Amino acid sequence: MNYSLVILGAPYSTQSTTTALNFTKALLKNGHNVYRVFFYHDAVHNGSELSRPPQDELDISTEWKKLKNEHDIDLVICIAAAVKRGVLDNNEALRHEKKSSNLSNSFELSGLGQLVDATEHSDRVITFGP
Amino acid sequence: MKTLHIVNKSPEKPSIMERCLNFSSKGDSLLLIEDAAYFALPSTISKITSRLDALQIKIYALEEDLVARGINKKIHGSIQIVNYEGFVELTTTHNKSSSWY
Repeated sequence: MNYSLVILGAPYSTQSTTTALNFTKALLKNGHNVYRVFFYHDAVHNGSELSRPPQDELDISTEWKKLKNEHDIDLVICIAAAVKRGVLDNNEALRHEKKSSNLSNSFELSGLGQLVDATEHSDRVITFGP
Repeated sequence: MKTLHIVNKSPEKPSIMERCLNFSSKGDSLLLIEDAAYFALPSTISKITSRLDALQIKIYALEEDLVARGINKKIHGSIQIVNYEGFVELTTTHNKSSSWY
């Protein structure tokens, strides 16, 4: 089956992202396809290249990177939710005249249209609340 | 059309479960994840079993979240424990899911 996931909770503050990560791994293990993971609200912080958790804690950003590299999962972050929380790619940094950007290259910033598209092209859309 | 209701908030916030039950239909299923795992304790689930039974709702709880809270051996007998693969399975056997948070 084709799945898309919507994640709403901030990493480390809520369990939302870790639950979604474990669910994604179980999906792939069982032969399902992940069409898209859409990061919305505080979940946009998943995309920060700068986060460095202590060594004995789960490195969430690296976990997404691994899934991206191994399964080419589409990781999309809501652009409006991201920019207002300080998660910027190069284009947004230029547009808003910021000195630097911090979006990890495993993710891309895009609009809510990508969420609509995901619901259209997936058999299941599972939401992970904050 | 059966719906899988996924609840993640603890019984400390009863309005979330309340809302979920108000929108549940006969034959739906309920999956307890994250802090909602505490609903699986006998003293807590007993407060809503009459409503769940009336709607013939099956209750599942996510094993990893029960274990993380040290309550996997204390839950009510009517609740079925599932791991993440069981969670995935539930989303395939129900054609819709609703998350309550």
